[in-house]
Amino acid sequence: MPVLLVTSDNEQFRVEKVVAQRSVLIKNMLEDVGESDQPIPLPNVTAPVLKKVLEYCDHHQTDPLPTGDEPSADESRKRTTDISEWDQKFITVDQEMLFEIILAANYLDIKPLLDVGCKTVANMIKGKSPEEIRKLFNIVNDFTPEEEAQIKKENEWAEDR
Amino acid sequence: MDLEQLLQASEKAGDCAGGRRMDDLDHCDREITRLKGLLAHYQLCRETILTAQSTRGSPSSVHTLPDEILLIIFEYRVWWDHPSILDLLFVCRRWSKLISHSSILWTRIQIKPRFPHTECFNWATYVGTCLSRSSDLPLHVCIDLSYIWSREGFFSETIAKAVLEYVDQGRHKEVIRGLNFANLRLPSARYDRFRGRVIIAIARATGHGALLRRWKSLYLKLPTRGFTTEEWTWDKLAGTAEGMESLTIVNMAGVNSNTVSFPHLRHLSLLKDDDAHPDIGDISSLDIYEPSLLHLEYQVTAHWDNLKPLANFAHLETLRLHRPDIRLPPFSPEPKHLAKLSIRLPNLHTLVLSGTLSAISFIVWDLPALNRLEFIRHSAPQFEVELGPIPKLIDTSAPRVRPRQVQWTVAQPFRHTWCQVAITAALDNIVQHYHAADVIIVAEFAQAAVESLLAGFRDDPQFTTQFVFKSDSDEISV
Repeated sequence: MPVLLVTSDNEQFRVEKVVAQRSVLIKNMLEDVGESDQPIPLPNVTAPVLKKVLEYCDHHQTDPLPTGDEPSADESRKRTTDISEWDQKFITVDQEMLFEIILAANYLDIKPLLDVGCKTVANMIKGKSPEEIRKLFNIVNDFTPEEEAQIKKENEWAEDR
Repeated sequence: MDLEQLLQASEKAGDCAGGRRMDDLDHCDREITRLKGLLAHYQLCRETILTAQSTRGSPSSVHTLPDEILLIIFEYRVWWDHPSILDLLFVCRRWSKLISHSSILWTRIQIKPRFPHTECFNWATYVGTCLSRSSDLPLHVCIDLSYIWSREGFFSETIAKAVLEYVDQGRHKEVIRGLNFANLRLPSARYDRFRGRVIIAIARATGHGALLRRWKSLYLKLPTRGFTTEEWTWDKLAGTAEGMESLTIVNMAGVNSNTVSFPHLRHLSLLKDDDAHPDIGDISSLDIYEPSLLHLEYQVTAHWDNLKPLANFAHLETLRLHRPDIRLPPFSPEPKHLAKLSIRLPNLHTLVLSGTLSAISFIVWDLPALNRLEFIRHSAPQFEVELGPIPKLIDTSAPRVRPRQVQWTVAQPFRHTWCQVAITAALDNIVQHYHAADVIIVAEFAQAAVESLLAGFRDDPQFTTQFVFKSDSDEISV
């Protein structure tokens, strides 16, 4: 049975339930309301972003759902920043869309997608100096000289690096 | 006016002056308070403007991410290069504050020295910082000494003395022995200082042994050339594992000792470099039969015995075998004898076979809970795969309730002909269990293999499983 999703910009998406349920948020909502034709509002997601998110959910619809009860799930997650070939292609978007996808994955509670987004950002800043990171993300260096000196003092293990 | 009147007048005048001074002071205090308030206001304005400036022109930028997401990103970023967390501290005030106050980011301790690249890096102070900022959270310790050790020279007496300040508590002599202080020689002072810092860092991470209780995971990589078990006695360090109740995950590379014992281990990974001793990773020589082990990953060596101990891990849930390129040596038992080897792992749900699979055909697997079988071809040329035999999957268990959904996956990074055989093998197993699923999704490239396998089922009225071929899928799944 298809599910009707409505974005913040009032666009409607009719998707298969199995695809929509990759989102734990939607899955829980569907379970709460039971069988219903009522559209599900997603006020924090715009149409272009939801379209992208649904593309991910559709491709991964047969993946086993993360259970979250595996004791070392977090540890294994941290172990690698590798991203599968399909996911890499999927997440090759501009920075704005990347951050929108991450925020949407967080809101919709799609952990595997959130991980793909976070790994992508982590890979982007890998091996970069503070200045390069600032340039990459358009971040202003808002430290006063005193603050900078204080951080150096607090982390003196790297003073003579 | 007499003198007395003059004095009285003078006192009155003084009182007035004093009163004025008090008024002035009160005024000053009020002014100071006002200016302080103004300063705080302007500081707030400055921060607001800076934030606005940094996000200008970018509706969704890194600034829009909430703290909890930034922390996930930072965790990924620093997991395999933790000392570089320093770079993140200097990006901006928000990142700096977030990282400094987040205990979880400091639970990773990564001692990975490279000489002379990190010669001046103060590893001991780094470890101290991690320990102080991580509160009492479980630690993930990585010790990678593969770049600094060699047979030439051990620690000088000076270094040993410095280290003893941290570990000489009597009850942790194993640590000291394990770190090889007994072999004191006098190499170059520069290198000695460098290694001394590293050893102090390791000693500090153990916290006189007391901190071992906080160790949650350990990644240990040792140099594999020119060492013998006796010289680099990892097992002596491991001998202190009695108090390591929380240590459940161990990854080791370059370790070829045989007395590793962790009573609460859940995950064990034994890896080796290409230039490592061929026996490293040989589980048949390790005393690691902890019944609690759930996840095992190792590199199969050239010895058949390397597979036999598998049956001892009765509770194993996932198993990853790398490079199982067992070419039976002349002194090995005859294949007909090997064919009798049966491995029953009742809880195993995931089996990953990476590399040459010929030896696997001599095993009769009894894996009633298996629902994921994955073949991965290693990209290195020496891992050229011959995928002739297929894994035998038998089900001798009592009738049980099958899982509602069974998923089989064949990763197919390269669409070479060899992979077709792997697909066939996997599909053969799918067919054995087709009754567990209503729909089986198959990648289009595997359609020919599926059709040939299904030919014999077409006339069977019980066979209602629907096969769907997907053009954009690299996997086969049910």
